[in-house]
Amino acid sequence: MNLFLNQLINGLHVGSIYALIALGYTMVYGIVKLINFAHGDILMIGAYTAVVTITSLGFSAPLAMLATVLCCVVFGIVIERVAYKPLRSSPRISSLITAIGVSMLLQNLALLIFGAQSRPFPTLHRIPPIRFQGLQVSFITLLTIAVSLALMAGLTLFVKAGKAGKAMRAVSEDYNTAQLMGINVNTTITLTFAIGCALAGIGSFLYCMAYPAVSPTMGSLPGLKAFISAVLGGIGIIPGAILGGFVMGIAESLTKAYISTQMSDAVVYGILIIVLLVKPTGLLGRASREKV
Amino acid sequence: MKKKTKSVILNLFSLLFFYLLVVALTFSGGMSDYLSNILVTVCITVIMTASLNVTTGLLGQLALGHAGFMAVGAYVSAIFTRTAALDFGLSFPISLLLGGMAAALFGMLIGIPALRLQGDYLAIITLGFGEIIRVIIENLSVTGGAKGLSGITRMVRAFSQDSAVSSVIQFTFVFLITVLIIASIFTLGRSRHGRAIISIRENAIAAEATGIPTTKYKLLAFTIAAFFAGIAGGLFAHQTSIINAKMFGFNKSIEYLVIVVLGGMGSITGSIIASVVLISLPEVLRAFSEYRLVIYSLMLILMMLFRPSGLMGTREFSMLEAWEGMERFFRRLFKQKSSQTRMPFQPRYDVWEGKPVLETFSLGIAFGGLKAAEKIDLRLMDNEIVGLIGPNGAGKTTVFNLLTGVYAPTEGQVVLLGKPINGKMTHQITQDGIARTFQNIRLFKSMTALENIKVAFHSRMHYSPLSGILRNAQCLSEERGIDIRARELLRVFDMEDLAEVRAGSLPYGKQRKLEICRALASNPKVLLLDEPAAGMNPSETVELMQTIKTIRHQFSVAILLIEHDMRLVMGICERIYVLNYGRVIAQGSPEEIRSNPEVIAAYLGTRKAEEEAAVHA
Amino acid sequence: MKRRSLITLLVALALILSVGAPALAEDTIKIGGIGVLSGDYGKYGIAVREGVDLYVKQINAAGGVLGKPVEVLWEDTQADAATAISVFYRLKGQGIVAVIGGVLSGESIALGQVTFEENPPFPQISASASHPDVTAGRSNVFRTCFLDPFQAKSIAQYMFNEGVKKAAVMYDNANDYSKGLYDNFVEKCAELGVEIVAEASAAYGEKDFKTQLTTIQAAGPEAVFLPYYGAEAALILAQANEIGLNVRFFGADGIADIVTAIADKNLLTNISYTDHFSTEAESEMAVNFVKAFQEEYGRLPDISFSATGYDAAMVLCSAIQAAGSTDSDAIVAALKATDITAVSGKITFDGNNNPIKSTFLNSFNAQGEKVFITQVDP
Repeated sequence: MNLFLNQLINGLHVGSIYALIALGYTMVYGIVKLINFAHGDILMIGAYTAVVTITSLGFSAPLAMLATVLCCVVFGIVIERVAYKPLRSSPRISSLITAIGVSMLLQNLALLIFGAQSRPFPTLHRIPPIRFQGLQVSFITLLTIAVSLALMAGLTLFVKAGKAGKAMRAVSEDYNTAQLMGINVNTTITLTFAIGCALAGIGSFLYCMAYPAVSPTMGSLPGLKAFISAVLGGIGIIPGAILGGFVMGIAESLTKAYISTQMSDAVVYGILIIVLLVKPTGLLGRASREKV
Repeated sequence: MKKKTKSVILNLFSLLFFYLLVVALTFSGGMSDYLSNILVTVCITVIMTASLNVTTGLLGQLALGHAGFMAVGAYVSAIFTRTAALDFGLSFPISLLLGGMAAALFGMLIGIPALRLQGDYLAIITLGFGEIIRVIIENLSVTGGAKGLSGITRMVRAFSQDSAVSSVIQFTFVFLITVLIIASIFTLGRSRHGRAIISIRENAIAAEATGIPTTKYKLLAFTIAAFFAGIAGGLFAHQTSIINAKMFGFNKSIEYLVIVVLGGMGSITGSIIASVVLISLPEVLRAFSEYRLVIYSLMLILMMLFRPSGLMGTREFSMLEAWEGMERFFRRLFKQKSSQTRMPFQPRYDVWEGKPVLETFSLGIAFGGLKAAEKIDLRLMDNEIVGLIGPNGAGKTTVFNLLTGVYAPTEGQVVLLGKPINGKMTHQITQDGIARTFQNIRLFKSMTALENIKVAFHSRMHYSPLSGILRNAQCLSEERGIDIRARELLRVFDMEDLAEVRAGSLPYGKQRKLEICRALASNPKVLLLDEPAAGMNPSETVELMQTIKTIRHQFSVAILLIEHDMRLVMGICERIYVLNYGRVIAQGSPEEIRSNPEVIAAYLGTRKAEEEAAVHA
Repeated sequence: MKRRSLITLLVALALILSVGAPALAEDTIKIGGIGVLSGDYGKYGIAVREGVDLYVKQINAAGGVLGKPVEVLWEDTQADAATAISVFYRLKGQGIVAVIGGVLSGESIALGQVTFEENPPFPQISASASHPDVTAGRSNVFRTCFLDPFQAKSIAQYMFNEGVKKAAVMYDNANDYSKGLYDNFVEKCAELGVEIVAEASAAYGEKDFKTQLTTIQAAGPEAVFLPYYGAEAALILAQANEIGLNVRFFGADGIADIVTAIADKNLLTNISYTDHFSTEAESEMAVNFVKAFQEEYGRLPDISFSATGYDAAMVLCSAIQAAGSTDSDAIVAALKATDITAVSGKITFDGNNNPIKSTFLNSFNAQGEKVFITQVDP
């Protein structure tokens, strides 16, 4: 039983990171209908920023985190403006290919600049795990879950109540009408990318604390899994991404613990395929059809 | 014609020259193992990218797991040559075929569920399947698990004791397979099946409404692409002697995708050129290899930003002409008589005089709680022109969608020519005799006007994909017949001179006409026109009215039309149904409708209607 | 216009064909160096290259081989078997007489098949490919590193000697290196009566090992065997520490580069591993090698493949000298008869062209420096 609970906690830990990244995917998809393949690589950029600022520039952890978030946001905005914006009215396949191209570019640039060798992420704390009646929770797990929950609550509030949040929802509902209503669509889209990347930046920092290895391709796998989380919850829906992230994390952890560690990736993709086939709109999604 | 023949001969000669050059170089020792190895790599890449182009270019669906099919082919083929106690010269071709078939089977298995999805989701699901194939291969014992298979016979040395002879046989074999695969993709692309696949890329909804079973053709495209990828995989396994699952991961799929995109999605020649360039470049420019992936990704982005159609767009070389010329040449050579022209197009002469051709009985549909249409009873007599009018949002287009099976009715029945058609797919209904046009024009924009019409003839041709690839007598005679019929149809609409113009670049009025023309090509008994006069100026509208009257007799169809232009409606309709809030509120002759208070109320609001009624009273 | 493009294409192809004409007679002895030099595993190939280049520099200073200077032409395989084959053909066109390589087992097996199919078989020696299949059935392929089964058994034996009775294994099922070590380790444990209380595998590219570690922790082992490369092992140690799994860890030669991948060097004191060489080895050759390496590159040969690479170059050059010609058959025969003392110990080849040599057991101190424990002889 304790083992099970411990595994569940592991799942929550991974899941909250997936959820943070998934939010970026889902917001961007909701607003411009683009699978931003490069979102996972924003995670990688954040990780390198953190490593460089801490080890080479000697930043303290909170300062480094701020730098990470800033760097991710800047990259996100630049990518949106340069690569995605000109393609907004092109066929979806073009923007999808561009996104794949951006992802490849970021990875290979990092490879040229930093080399393939993975770099260690500095240890930032020495707090032993908290034990309670056979259960144990590490400090990083607690921190990650707490920070992600706080961010998700904040984001939900922002989108529900804030003026910019309303603009976002309007643009995702109908791009052209929103424009007619006097909403600055470009600003709103940029803001969406910025928020998504900021979350990825924080996620990246937390991710590196848990998995202290930084390499050029580190973003692909968590990026892909986060994307699957977003689809699982219903892409374009913010609570969906959060739910999807947690479901994915727990499913992955329990698969590894009780079914097969070797097949855990296959199970993850299997979940994706089943969801897409049974309910393509995801757990919380609602159907919409093309107007004929 | 003469110029064409010249280009045919030149093309054939350059292919032959290239082949002979390689053979001569090999025997004279001028062809190192290094170069012959690269040539094989180029051929394999050409097969992979050309086949990927079938799904990504012709069908227009992004597939991200193409290397997975290659893996299946590689493993099946390698396992076969390792275990079969046959001479390599025999077991190898069989193994390639088996590998291709296994991959095709996987393609189909994946395709059946995956093709319910579109666009982004399909891309993601192919990615997922590609990765699952990798994980499974890594964990099976028959595939050698993580280590993979090694010690696979290398074809370059296996054909003969003499290394030069063996090398030449290898090249001949690989080159021939590549040429054959490319040729069959070309010929298939030109057949009715290829047109069906391309029409799905252009506009899936219109394709279905034109009588194309879209799901079947998506599946066909996937299966064919997987089959060729499987063969490429078999070649690859026998080139490297060792295979493991990591060789066929996501990155490999992406590398092939890059080549396809650069060459131009939809252009097989583009894929060939891009393969040759991108494989040779790193070999020639050593410094390039370090920056290879950075440059690839940059090219990918820049290409999408500035030239999204790739190097070649959807254009092809004179290859097609080369192929047709070769055909003619061989036919003459073997004294094969040019078979007769089959005319597949016969109008439906079913006698339904005085009987309704189309009837609905309390037809309705509810989206969630909202009833978009209910208790619709329509009746269309033979050769009748009937109008369907109503204010915006009244449910007119919904009725069309119900009639054509785009939406499945939640209540009621549709009876066409005395048979119920409920629950049939759109393309079946089209084949049964209902054709339609769309409110927002849905043509196959990058196809020519003539091809647009040929797509609609699809269901009345019968040759199989295989005879399309072989271009046998049946295929040729049917194609010839279709060509004549399609031109005839264009002539009816005074558009014969526009036959070779891309539909997307036709003027608006002509596009509307072409859409009607395409609808007629599927040989309907009932023609549904959704706002045919929308956006037309008065003189164009008058012309359209004339056309509608003409086709009714010439093609013996009943016409149901939605229109807001009351002059048109009142001018040509014999009867009119009025729809409001999803219900039929009135029906009758134009005069009856014009004075019906309920109709006036629906159009002008209740108070005004009361005033009008008061005036009349 | 149209048809011109196709002709241009074919002419271009024909031109490409004419690029690689074979080289003429040389006044240097050319050796091909083939291996992964970039990407995740690039550091291993680079380590080999540094060792080989060092030896070649020394022998050229001493007058070369057969009176001619030796030149090593390096090519990167990018860890891809198909590329390994392609670059071999390219190098052959440039007149090499033997190959040092590949670095990883997969590329070495593919390369071995190609060199073996040459007529006569082409001499090949690897400094680092430790999978049994690399040399199996190939009379022309040799290596200067020990084999995976041998090191897996050595570490199991050492662990048993240290008093461990209950062990767990965590391995990567999708990696032939890891899988091979795992199989042999488990086999030896069964023989010694060490109980395997838990075994867990993690898929390729995985970074989250916590679930597996939690399972292992629950089984209560006294030690955990980690047949991984340094990058993954660093993550595992960090996460084991995070969840409070503080037992001894054992690893194999892949662990050697863990130092650069881990931030908290304290964790390294828990781990012992088998290696091909130790910088603290006491033989005269070893001491000289370490000294020369430091002078050349300004640091210690951290990855022991530098030592086996140096040895591979030494074995090959000696064989060419002994053969008295650059003829393939003669070199292979001379390689077969090798009996020299090299940096990583005395090298002779058994019936499968594998060296019969010692392993070194190393650990680390809290500063991340390697600590030599003991030497295990076959």
